[in-house]
Amino acid sequence: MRDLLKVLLVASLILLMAGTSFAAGFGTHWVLSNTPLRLPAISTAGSSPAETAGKPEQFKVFWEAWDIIQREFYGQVPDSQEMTYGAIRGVIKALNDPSTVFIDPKASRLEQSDLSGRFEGIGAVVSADESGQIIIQSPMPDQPAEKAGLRAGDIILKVDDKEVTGMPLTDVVLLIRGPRGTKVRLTILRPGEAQNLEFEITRGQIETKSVAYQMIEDVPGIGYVRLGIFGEKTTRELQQAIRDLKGQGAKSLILDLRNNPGGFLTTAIDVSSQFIRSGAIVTQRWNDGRERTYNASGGGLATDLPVVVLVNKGSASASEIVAGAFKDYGRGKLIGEKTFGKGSVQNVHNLSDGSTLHVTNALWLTPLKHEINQQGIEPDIEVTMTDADVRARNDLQLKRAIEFLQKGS
Amino acid sequence: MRGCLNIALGCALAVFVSGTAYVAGFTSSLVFTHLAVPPPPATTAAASVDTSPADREQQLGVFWEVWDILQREHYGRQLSPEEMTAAAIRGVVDSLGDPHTTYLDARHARAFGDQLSGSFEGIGAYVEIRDRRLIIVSPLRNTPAERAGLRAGDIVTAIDGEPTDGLTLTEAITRIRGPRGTTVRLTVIRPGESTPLILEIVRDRIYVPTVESRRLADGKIGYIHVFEFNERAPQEVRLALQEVMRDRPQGLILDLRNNPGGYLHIAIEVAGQFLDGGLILTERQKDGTERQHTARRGGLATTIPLVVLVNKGSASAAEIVAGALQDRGRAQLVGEQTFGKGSVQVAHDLSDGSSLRVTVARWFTPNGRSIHEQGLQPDVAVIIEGTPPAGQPDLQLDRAVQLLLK
Repeated sequence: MRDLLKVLLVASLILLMAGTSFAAGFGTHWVLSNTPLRLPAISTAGSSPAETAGKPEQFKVFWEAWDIIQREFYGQVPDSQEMTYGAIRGVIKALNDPSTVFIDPKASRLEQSDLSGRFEGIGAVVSADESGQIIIQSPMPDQPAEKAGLRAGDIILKVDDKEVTGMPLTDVVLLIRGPRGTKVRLTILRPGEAQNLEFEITRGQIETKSVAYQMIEDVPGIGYVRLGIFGEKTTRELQQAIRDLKGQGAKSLILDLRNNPGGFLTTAIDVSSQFIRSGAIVTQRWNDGRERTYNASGGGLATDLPVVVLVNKGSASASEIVAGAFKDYGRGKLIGEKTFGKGSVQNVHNLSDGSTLHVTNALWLTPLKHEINQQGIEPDIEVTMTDADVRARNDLQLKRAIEFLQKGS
Repeated sequence: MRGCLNIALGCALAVFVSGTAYVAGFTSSLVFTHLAVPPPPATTAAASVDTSPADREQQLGVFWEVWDILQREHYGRQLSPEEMTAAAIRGVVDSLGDPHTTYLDARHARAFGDQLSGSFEGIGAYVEIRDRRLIIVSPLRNTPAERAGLRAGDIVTAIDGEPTDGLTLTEAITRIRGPRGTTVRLTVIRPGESTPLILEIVRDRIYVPTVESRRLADGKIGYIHVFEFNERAPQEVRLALQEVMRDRPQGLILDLRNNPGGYLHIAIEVAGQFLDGGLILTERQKDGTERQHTARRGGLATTIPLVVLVNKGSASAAEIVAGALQDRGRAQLVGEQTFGKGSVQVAHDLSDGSSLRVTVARWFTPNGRSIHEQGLQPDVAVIIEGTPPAGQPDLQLDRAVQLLLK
């Protein structure tokens, strides 16, 4: 059982990542490349199909409808596989949970190719909300999407003139991706802007580093670390960064989690453990009410340094685990905007025909057992940035963080 | 086979009910059911699938894998077997990509079925989903929808602030309808206007009329307005024709504006009052078989000069009648391009009380034209934005009178 749990955990993590970034189809190749285990084991771990509950008696109506459609429908009747996938999508839609998704074999293969680490697209993480709107969750740092000016919260209306609202997320991702050097045109609805915006973006080879760091210029003693994702190597990169920054005289740190869509649960715990000496970091709660709490792993390198954390609405999932722990322990102030609000964990199943199912199977809670799902975490110090600020690279949030560390308020 | 036909009839009626009900509610009463296509006997159905129940479940193998996982693991709501079944059917229907093929679960089928009484509480507009957008096909006269200024062609993007993206027709109608006296807020995009309009509409009891008639130009012109092609329409049209023809008018106006359609066989009967036999439409099924529908002889108004009023709210069965009269050279169409719905649906009641409406055919005018998504072009175009308010001149009607008096 312990092993199984581990396996589950890993899978959940992956999912956690995949959940937020799956969308990523275009952005999360990193998610995948950090995913050594895509465990078919999971899908069969609980019970084999043979021992599951029988098909409900009520289901015979489905066959009545199926037969009528086969017999009478004017127009192209999709093959029975497509109709089966249609039935699956219908059931998943009825759950009203945008994080539980079905990926047919074609798209699933595409996701696997992400695993290989090579990925050509625009570098943005997208998600779909309940109403079918396709939302830029976070543009990845220094990638074509961000360089072109896309922002977290932008709603994609059209891709190359094709309406995408209501489309399955994978299909949208497939439309946006393409060989490097080619162009894709996005029509964007940006809340607060009167007119739709058009962006023409040249696709590139998406490369992401999970950690970037430097000493703040002109201000002695403040180190800056930015986490792009919570990948497999992130903890090691972060430890290296902290050692380096301390070596350069850092007496306090700014941890930047803005536009970080998440990643592995274990990485979130290990990252938190660099700053929080002991105690609960996160609790996972299953549908049946069972809970499991994960504690700080100890041996953190920066447990004694003052830290502030930068967050915005692109900070999701694993980022929110870290931010939630910081907030609950009062370990450091959160500066910026309310976070995305993804407090669920998905499990990944590879199905027998090559398709994949991501199922929300748990919530996670902050150390004080707060749910953040769909609510996000409020910053201690709210600093918003306008479009103009972003374009002008006038980083008000970072400036406030520096000010805070200098003055202590 | 005869029994089967009866059954088909019963079910078509039931559907029609839901069809009009929506209308009222607002849905597509574009619904347009057809009695001539009864489902084949059950044996054929079974034969065409040629698999045992066990094999069929096998065919859905991945579906059951997903269902098992969801039941075991999903955090949050679990679906009941009934909900799961309805959701699966809805998913299959969605995968067809045809907005006119729709599924109502038992609860909704009951709710809409109860509306056949001819009245319901809502705002009084026909709606339709086209390209995933919720579109006003036509507001009914003297209803809250019309008084609030809702127009044919308006796109409803939100209902009470909730986006309409991804809503099925039934869901949209369910949200727009409600008890009289309550208010619904529609966010509307009107082609040509740059900013969305927000319309607050107080719901009322909506009565759906079928036919109205009167004399125009001192009795020189007879006027018959058909609101929809329901079961009452043939009788009411016959009575109205007898009434207005008594004055021996020199011309007749058939007003099909904002008529969203109805039953195919009713459209054929009504068209037959104006055509002395001959082709009304050709219906083509999925296997390529064609069926020609002709007018019965003995119509009451087969020779008198005739003008048909149409607009973009004229849909489906209304387009059948207008298209036949136009192609046969029987009448001039005055007004605007029509809606463009050239498909036929049959409604099936399923064993649990739910209802499946399936597009089973396309229809073509006597000259072989398909009007699907194109509509009919008027012979004399008179374009009006919206419905003229009461007391204002009706330019389309005036033009029709003029043409007939000439």
